[in-house]
Amino acid sequence: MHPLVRALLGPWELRWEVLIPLALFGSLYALGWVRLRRQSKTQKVASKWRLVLYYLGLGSVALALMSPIDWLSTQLLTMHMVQHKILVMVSAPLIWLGNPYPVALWGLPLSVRRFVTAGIAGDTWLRAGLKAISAPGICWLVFTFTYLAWHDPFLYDLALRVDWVHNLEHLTFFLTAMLFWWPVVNGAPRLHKSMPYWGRILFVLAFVPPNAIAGFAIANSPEVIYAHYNTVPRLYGMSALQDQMIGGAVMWVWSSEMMINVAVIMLGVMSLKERKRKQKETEAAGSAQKPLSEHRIEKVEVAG
Amino acid sequence: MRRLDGGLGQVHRIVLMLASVWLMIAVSVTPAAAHGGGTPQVVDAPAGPYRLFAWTTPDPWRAGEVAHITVAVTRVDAAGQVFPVADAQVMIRLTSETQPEQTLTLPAQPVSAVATGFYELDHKFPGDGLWRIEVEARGAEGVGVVAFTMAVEPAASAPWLLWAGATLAAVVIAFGLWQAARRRATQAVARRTAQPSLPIKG
Repeated sequence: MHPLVRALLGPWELRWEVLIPLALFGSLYALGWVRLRRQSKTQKVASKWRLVLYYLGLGSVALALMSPIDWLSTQLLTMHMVQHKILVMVSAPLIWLGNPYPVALWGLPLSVRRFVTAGIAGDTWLRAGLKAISAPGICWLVFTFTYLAWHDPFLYDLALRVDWVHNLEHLTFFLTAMLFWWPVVNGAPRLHKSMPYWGRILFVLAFVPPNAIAGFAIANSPEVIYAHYNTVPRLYGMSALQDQMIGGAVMWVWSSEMMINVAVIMLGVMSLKERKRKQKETEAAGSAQKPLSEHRIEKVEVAG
Repeated sequence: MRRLDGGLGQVHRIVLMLASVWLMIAVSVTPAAAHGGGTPQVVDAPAGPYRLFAWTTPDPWRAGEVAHITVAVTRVDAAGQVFPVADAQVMIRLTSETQPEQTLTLPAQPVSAVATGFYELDHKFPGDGLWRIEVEARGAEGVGVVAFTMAVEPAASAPWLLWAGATLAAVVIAFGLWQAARRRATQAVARRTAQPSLPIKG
């Protein structure tokens, strides 16, 4: 078995700073989901597919930060890129698709729930702050800037040298990715007017060029950009430069493909909604014409 | 809302079930002190039959604070393939350069099952100044030794970052509570003014 595959199949490591938030949010969601399902099993807020996606999202966070991927990310740039991609391209959208806000809210005790909803629904500084940072343009800029900035050689190496900077890197990646996917998934709380589907398509596709340029530059660099990977033993059968080529390609291809896939899904949803709208219009026109024609028949009968 | 909050018996059962699941996860995975990285001190240094690597955290080391040393023990075969040495005995000798009689020899432990060939040591340095760190790896192939010097700085007077963080958190919480209290008071006044105190007689 290849040493990398053997390492990937190795045991997971407990990290309290990861496990505690995952346990907290996982438990709140489960409680809220059960409470909402008791009210109605057919409502859309807490559906079964949303539950599955939410836990897949939390599971992917655990996979990125507690599985052997975490250790391997300090040894291979490729695995570090995979770790980042899981956090920003898998975990964040999956968690949003689980509709976490209304469901987890119902997991809270009544008094806390009132406190939270008052903060978000009322005329408060919290709502104002959230509204300011969740404007689609800001979400895109904050995520793209954070994502690219952490790929600066100095910051990247610093994160690999200092543990808390590494944690900060992952936290900012995840939180800004949550911001990025918020308008795309149109998750609650909805503080802005929903973006039209064509807007969401442009939003995700606009991320492709900066990401592709950065990934391409890393993959094609003739020198090792991140000095840290020159200081670790090459245990997995590839040199630091080969590792960098694959890592850059992962960054370039995975994110770009993900964004293009999302754009295609959005196009599909858009055409489906358009078809439904036209169908409704046709039905409405049909039902409006029916009484008119009946009225005409009556008139003809009277005249006859 | 009240109706949904009712039937807490089932909710308690779910809480218990979730707590058990999380506990099971917590005991089934092994704890990790640090997840790799650090400042490289020794890179691919030939030491007897091995090639050694060493990293240190935090940066800088301070007297009275825990310092972390990670060591990787590898060997290279004739084809140039690098292998981790999983069954080495790694000893770390710490010697104060100002007081050479102050010497400690401590064993480094394997980092984890995934990090094959990696060993680590946590130690609280008693004093500042220059310290010589000697790493000895002993295995079936022989013994290899490398050494490097670290400057241990005097103990920090106060963990100012911790205090600054705690103060900031306290300010944010106080502000949030004050906002909530103010809103509640405004709502109470609005309710009182909306209800006439005397019945209106027609």
